[in-house]
Amino acid sequence: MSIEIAPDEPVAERRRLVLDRRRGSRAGNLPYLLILPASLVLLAVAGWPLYKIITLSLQKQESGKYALFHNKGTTAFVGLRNFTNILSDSTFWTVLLRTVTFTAVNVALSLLLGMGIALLLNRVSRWARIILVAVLLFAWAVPSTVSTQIFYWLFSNQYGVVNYLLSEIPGVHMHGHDWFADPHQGLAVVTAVVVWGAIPLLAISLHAGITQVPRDTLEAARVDGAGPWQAFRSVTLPFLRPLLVILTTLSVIWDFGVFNQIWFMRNGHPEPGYQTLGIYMYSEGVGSSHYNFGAAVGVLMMLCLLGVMIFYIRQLFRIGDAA
Amino acid sequence: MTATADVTAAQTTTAALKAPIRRHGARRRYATWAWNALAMVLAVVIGFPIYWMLITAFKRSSDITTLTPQFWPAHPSLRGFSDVLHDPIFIDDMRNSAIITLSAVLISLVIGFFGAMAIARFRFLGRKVFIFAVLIVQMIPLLALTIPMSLLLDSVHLKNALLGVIIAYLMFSMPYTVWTLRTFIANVPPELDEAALVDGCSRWQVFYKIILPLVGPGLIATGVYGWILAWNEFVLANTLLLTNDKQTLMIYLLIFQSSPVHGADWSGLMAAATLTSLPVVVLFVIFQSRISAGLTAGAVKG
Repeated sequence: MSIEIAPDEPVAERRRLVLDRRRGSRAGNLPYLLILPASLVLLAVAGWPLYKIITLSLQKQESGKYALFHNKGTTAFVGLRNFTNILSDSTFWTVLLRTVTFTAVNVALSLLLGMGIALLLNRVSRWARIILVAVLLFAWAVPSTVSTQIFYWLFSNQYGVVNYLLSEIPGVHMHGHDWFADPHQGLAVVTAVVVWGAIPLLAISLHAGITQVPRDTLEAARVDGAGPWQAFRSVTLPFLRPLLVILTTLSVIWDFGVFNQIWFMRNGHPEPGYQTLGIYMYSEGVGSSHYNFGAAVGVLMMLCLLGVMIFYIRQLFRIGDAA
Repeated sequence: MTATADVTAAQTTTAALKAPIRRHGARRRYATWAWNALAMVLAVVIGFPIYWMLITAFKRSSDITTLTPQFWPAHPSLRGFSDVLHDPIFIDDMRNSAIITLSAVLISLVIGFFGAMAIARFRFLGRKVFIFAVLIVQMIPLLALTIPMSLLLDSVHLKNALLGVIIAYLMFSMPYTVWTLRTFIANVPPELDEAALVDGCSRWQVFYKIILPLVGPGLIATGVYGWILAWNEFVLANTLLLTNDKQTLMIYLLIFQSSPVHGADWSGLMAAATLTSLPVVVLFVIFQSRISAGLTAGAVKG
């Protein structure tokens, strides 16, 4: 039974026009007007430097102070010579290997501990969860520069509390031990800072993911005789996969580019043994004003991460976040 | 470049506090107590560095240089704080940090709001390209672009100028703002816009009469997190700002730590570190749930 009501002419007409506009026929350039300022800013603060870093990396590296000062890095075009110079230098490969190892260790430790704490948060009483989450939030909020200075003080060879506590263990004598004399130990302390700073985000978001695992699926697995580990591996883990992929990708990008923690741990003068790709680029490019050389290392650094970045963005589009 | 996941994860803390616990029988209860104990041990270990910063800041120097560390300040003292607060360079640097951070956040919010509006409300040719550009810029390591950024700002005479740093900071604060506000705007039902348009509102009126008030909390959350990102930034500021009167607090901290004048003034250093992190820690902890509000369509969906 359809009763036709004569539509209120003007309103219907307006609605039709409005809907037309929404579909884009009349609104036409409005969205472009809206993204114009943001696009201009992006071009200025990202597009221009990107263009500049590529041209810099293809220009000759002058070493004379005079040339550096007067040319601001604008020198003769030499093609890929900076890159071949860098890639044939064993220092670069040592630094790259160190960076990759550092990244792998930090990402693995952060994710393992983050996941462990997430699972723990799921098991404890409410009060315990509130306390632990509160502590994690504070740790999350502390700037990386500040947390590095705290750890620098904790691990200080004179009056550092870590050496004192370790020496309390029978048979261990760490009084006056200098953690930073050996870059391996020094980078282990840096790893402690990085992991300490990374855990809160990972633990809290993974825990939130775990609480969304369907209860009945877990229950069904339990009824079918799955132990806690098996239930975790076959139910929880697959459920968390999209989240884990994103967290891993972001961790790789962040840990590959760790800078503040190393820079502050070495008082702004990292020794060669502490150089990761970012530190190497900065010390050479900014510290010694070898702009072209530094730019080329910067380009290589971005190339290393390009695959990871594209993977991340594709993932965002896939889970519909970016659609 | 750190933004997206931080916020999507921040949303989840509220959920973290609400998860139910199951208890089955005595064995289960003992297990829960064991887990609780482990959680408390972890809370102590993770919280210890912050605790150590605070009590060092409140200790007298003579109580710091002891072979057996004091785990509680025997003679609490505010000398560390008063030294730092009476240092004119610290005050200058705090003002610089505040100016740079506030400007970068406000500019990003205004420009970002329009950009977010466009991608949340319209389908248009080039929309995906714009989204892709925003995401890729957000991901580019800031560090890699310090050299060209510094040369470019130098060429327009904005090196060692706060304005130069503000512009440089848009590189990370703007994409982050567009991306986060997009989620907040997408959560406002489009039917509201339609109704307003039918009632004769113009597009602009829809923006500031319907959407702006509804995404208010989103704007605050986005602004607060942008504030934290910009306040904590070190590399660009360190490259672009050269003189004492122009530097930010992060640079102040590094100079304090490495200068021979302050030697091993741990109390002063930890006081400066505490004062520097205060504006971000307080904001983060207060607005943490606000940052989470409305951000349901994040990476945390299955």
